[in-house]
Amino acid sequence: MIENGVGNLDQNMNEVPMLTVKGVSKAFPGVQALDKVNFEAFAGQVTALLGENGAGKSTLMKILSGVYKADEGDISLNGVKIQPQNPHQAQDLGISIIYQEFNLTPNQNVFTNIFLGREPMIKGLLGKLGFVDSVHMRQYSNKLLSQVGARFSNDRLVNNLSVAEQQMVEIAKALSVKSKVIIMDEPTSALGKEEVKVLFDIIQDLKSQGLAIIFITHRLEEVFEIADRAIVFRDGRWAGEVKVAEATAEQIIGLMVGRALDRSQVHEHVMATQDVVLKVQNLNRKGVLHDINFELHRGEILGLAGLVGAGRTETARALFGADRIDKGEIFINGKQVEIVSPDSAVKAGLALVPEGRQTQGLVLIQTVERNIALPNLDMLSHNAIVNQGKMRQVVQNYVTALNIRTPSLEQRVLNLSGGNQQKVVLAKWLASNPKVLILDEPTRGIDVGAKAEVYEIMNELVQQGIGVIMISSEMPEILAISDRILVMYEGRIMGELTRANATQERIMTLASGKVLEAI
Amino acid sequence: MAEEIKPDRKVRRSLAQFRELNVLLAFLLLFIFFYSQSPKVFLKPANLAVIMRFIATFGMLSIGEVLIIITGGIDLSVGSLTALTGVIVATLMLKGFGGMPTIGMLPAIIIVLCIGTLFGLWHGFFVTKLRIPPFIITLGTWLIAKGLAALITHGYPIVYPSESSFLVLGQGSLFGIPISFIILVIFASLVSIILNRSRLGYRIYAVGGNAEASRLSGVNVDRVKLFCYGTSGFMAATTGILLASRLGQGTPTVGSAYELWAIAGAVIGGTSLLGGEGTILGAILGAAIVGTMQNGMVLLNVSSYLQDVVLGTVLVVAVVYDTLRRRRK
Ligand SMILES: Nc1ncnc2c1ncn2[C@@H]1O[C@H](COP(=O)(O)OP(=O)(O)OP(=O)(O)O)[C@@H](O)[C@H]1O
Ligand SMILES: [Mg+2]
Repeated sequence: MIENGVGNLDQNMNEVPMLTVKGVSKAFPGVQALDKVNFEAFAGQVTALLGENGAGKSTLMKILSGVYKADEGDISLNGVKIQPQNPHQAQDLGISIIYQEFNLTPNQNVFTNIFLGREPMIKGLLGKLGFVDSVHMRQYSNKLLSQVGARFSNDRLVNNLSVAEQQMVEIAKALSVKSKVIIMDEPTSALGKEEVKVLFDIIQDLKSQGLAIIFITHRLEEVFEIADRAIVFRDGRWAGEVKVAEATAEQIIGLMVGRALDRSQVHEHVMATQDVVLKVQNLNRKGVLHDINFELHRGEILGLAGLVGAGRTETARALFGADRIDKGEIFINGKQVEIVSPDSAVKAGLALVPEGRQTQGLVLIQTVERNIALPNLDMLSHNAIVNQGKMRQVVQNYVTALNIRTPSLEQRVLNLSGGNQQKVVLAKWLASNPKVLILDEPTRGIDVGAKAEVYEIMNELVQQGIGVIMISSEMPEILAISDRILVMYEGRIMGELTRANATQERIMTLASGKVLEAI
Repeated sequence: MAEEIKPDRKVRRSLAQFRELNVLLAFLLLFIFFYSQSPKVFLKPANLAVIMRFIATFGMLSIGEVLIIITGGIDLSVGSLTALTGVIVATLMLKGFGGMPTIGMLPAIIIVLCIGTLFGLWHGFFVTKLRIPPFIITLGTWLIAKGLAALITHGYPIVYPSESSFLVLGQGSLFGIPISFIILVIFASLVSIILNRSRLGYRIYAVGGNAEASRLSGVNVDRVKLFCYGTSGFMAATTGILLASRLGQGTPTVGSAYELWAIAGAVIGGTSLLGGEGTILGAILGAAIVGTMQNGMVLLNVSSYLQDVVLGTVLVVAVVYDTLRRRRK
């Protein structure tokens, strides 16, 4: 059922929404992020909010959670008008949020982060004087952590956690306060299959407790799995609402992009050659990587599969010189290369799109242009002076190709939507013309259209003969894109699957450390 | 999208991008104020030359300070280094170290510039390779350099004979403009070009904005920082030489708290102490504000204690204003 215009679906006529958003608008310099949108969330339901990158999803959520103030429009919770002035107030009203970009303090440990700003006080006088009840904090956060399926300790510093682990901390943090509405802005984009399952169990549980869940994602299959209703935004406007049980993926995508999209983005290149572009021998990093051996061919896309923490990111970082290795040789086009730093890796022809876009991928306070230019400055300059005309041209090309939504090249990437930030990270490395391109969760948080775009570009690159290594926790993606798949488990390569014999089951078997029976 | 910017918006945007506009306006207002207070003296060529020499001193140090602050560091050593390098240049030219013969002006200057640069690189080494906070390592040099300057001179100034040609650097003028000010303009332009146009400059800003992302973009972060610290040491040595020339002596007591004036100049000029932002032009204008105020208050017979109070207040107001302006954006 798609309804155009404002109003509820018939099915909800007898129900009163818990949260109602009416005619809310929000403008940023050069961008109308939201234009009179409506939105409703019901108790005991999961409401999915969908839309392309930059459609205004996070902006609305930040208005609900008191980060931004709406230019116009009304918000009411259980029939009472509210105007949260800051996140703390929103929490007091019962709205808590898991931000798309993590909101943790990196140099503090897990439990401090979970209770940040709402530390439980010791009972009695000491508490009034500001003494924190750390015993209680530890116990409670332990409980929360096991609830979200985390296997790391309370005392770890947040910046030592992987992106997926940080996401779990965010989820635990949202659960730590009593809420009526929980907003989850792309909570799954950093998670592997296992963690997503745990999260969905938690969501089911919260649902049955009568909470209203707002769930943002770019993975449609998740919408069908967990959501009851889906609301779609397009270009800052309300574009439609569907009851998930009665909708099809095509319908939803149609609402998102305003036209039908060809989703058959199967990867059809037959370019993989026998020339070895990258050879890795006995790569070892104590306690992290053990005897990593593999070859990558020219024109090949090699998938790296495995669970969160299996050592895929660590392999990528070791190859790229981001972490020190204890042992191992790396050959590019048959010649051994000494990679001691990312700087030498780039010179040797490697490129790495890292997993954390905000911490590792971008200089947030700088412009789109500067960010894309950064790894390419040698190419873009003459006698050490940057050729600004050439830079603008190269940057503009990639901004157009990846459809990066920004009012200008001078926009600070800080102000872009999450998906558009990811596209900037992709752009800066795609522009660098590497021999080997390593992608760590490259499509994290980008919309369906842009994904197709990225696959297209990957295809073009392999046609030109570069080798691509792709890490992805999205099983369908890795199966559809890779010529070959290496599966890792606890820092080891457990096995190799070809395009012909790779299946989800086989990957999962290897990924959980078991050996495959003969294929 | 990017091409559709209307012309009037373009103009407004480039105006908005001229972040130093506020600082320039503040400077002009100040200038007019002091002029109105002492119209007879303030605009006299002799007094303007004094102001320009002030600006040259603080501006030179601000250049190095801006570079380092952009990368997210700080350099507390430059005031003491000014004294030390001034003392060394005078000793080399007038007394000779440990019984060695004295040397000419040019070799002495070159040696002192090298010493300053080495001090800067030394800081850079500790900051990059040993990960010592810049605050600590440069504070160490602040003390060490102060002490060395006093040791070398036994606390007494080494005075140049009044006919020494060395004195032209700090006291002479070209077409009515003090030579030290001309040197400042040359260095400022050079570093400005590096910051705005060269790939090194692009990298300096990137490192200040996010060092890890820069490293993972193939930027040799250590080398970038070494350049900035080295340049700051070089600028301190230049200032030391010019000051020795202006005063006609190498004296260990000179330069005290100059690092703070330099930092103040940079910050008033819009450099963010969080790193990643700042311009040379802004810092020079900031230094100009500091220099003009010091001169103006002397002319108005403001007591030196009150001068400090006023300057401190200006610093706080400037930073608060800048922070609020940033937040509004
Ligand atoms: N603080 C800001 N300053 C300027 N523009 C902003 C700011 N925050 C968001 N925008 C712009 O508003 C628009 C909507 O952004 P928003 O983050 O809501 O998108 P989104 O739907 O969450 O996208 P994504 O799927 O990529 O996360 C984008 O064009 C973005 O560039
Ligand atoms: Mg978003």
